[in-house]
Amino acid sequence: MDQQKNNAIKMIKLNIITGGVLVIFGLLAFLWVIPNYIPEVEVENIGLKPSFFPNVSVIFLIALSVILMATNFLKLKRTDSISEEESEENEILGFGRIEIINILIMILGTIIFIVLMKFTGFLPASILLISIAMYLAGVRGYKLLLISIFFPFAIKEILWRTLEVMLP
Amino acid sequence: MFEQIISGFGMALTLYNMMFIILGISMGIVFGALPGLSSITGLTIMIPVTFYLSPVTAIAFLIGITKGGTSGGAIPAILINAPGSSEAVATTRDGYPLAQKGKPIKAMKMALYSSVFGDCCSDVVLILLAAPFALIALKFGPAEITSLIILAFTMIAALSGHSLVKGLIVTTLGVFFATIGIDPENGVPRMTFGVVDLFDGISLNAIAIGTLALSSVISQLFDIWRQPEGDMVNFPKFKKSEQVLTLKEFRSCLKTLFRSSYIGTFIGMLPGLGVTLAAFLGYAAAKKASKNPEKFGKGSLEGIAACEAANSAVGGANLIPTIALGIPGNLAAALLIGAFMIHGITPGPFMMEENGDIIYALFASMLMANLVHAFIGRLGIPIWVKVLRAPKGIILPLVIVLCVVGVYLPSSSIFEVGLMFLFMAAGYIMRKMSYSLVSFFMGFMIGPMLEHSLRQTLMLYGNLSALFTRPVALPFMLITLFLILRIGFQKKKLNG
Repeated sequence: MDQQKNNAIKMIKLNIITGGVLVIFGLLAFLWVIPNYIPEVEVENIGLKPSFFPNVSVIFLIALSVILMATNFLKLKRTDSISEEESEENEILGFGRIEIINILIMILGTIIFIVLMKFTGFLPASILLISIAMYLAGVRGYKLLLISIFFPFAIKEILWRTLEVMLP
Repeated sequence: MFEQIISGFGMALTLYNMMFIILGISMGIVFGALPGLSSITGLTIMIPVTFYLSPVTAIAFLIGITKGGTSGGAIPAILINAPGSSEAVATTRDGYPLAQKGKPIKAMKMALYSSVFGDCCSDVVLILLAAPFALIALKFGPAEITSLIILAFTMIAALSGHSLVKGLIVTTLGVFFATIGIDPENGVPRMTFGVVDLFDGISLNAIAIGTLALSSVISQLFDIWRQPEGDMVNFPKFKKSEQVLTLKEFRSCLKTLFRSSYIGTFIGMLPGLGVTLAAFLGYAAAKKASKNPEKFGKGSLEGIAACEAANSAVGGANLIPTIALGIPGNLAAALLIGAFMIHGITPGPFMMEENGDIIYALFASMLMANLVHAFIGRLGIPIWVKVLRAPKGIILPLVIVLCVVGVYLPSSSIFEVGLMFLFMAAGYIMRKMSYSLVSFFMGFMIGPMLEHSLRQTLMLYGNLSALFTRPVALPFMLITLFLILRIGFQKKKLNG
């Protein structure tokens, strides 16, 4: 139960942080992105302005994020009253160091994949992606080599012969 | 109308259509049974591929995947007590114990036939109600549609996640992202940053595949990397003679099948309630009404029938608000809306009027798919069982490449592939922090419809008071407020 309660407190703190991040995102969108990247158009009715609906959605986003932060801040002050159900719900969720490392790996992997796909084509990029992913997942030996080479070739051929679509 | 029905059935009853229905059902069962995947993953990957098919064949194929996926999820639930999808969780209660008693094939047969039964009942209700619902929806004005969408968003946000506020946040985020692109009213680019690929808005494929399919796949890959899986679980041994499901045994579950189908159909008509809820409610109702409730949880055929009929009955009924109003009831319906739009069909009240023959062709395809489902599902049981042995470490990397191909196919744009990976990261963060992906995707899908109806409301009435004064819009807004007060302030969730 203590571990579960700690997880619940961790999730509450994460909710406050994400609420803050979303408020900053909303303010950035409202004060900079929308005024600079949506041209103003002279219309009779405010509802027809191109910036109307993005502004409305961003204002709602900011308001809801503030509510999220406020409710979780109040929960944090009253940690004794965290229910057993809440503790159980948060047992397997959470965002810590491991998840941040995963995100960084995803970003790096994405950049490498996109660059490879653009400059060398679909085949080398996919072969590398499949072989690295399978290696990390514990697959070894001839299976890894065979599948990582055969599968992209097969996909490329099938798409070309059936749909006449050429991958990069 | 009769001409449309005849024309529609004529369009559906072709060998080409049948071929793709068979393919869709088979793929759906495989995706549902495979560890780590689901029919949603299959749907998101295959939607771009259907770009090259006719609308009827494309939608029939995708519906085949949905139907197959629901029964496919029951296979690992029965054999290894690891449901392939959330709706199959309830099936483990009686499916796995029956398999442990040496009757796994019998359990799988019951699950399959119950699934087909539920599908048939729900499809009949869809065929009977879609047109009348569409007629009612035609009388809805912009204020009514705005209030209905706000209600749908609130229901989905409240019921598909752990927190109403978090659900509404991601819904709003989805709505905001949907505004990127050329403004349909004024023709000016909104937040495109000069990127030509964004003029048509964020690609549906990129966001769907990235957030729904790829984020799940990558999350599982990271888990396997850090905690390698052990050897595959052994399947229970069985005698062939004990696997027969007799007609008498099936007939004894008929009342349960009808009851569960009714429950699933009713839940399917309401957005946000979800397939899992239908399965558990069907199970609970069957146990309460049963003459032998003590047998539930120990391998009761009635228990399996109740779960599978209820969870399958949701699918057809979900299409009622989808076709009549353009508001999807769940993720699968939202993805089907995307598929409709790719093929130039706009779901909503005018869909029946403008594309009636296609809709009736779709209905005919759904009925055909149910027959095919029973046949293919039964014949393929030895194959689906083997599919379960496929190691995640091989399947998941291949799915990533399929996702890349799925996004690249319709657009030939590497930018969209990059966008898909961006939404993969966003989807991963949302999963880990308990934000509902369903709400996010619904917000993105229905956001443009909300903007359009909101603008029309402001143009017609000058302000938003019509949402609280129109006789149909007011009850929708009151129900929304009730939901916010009732669910927003209570600790236990309906889905708990």
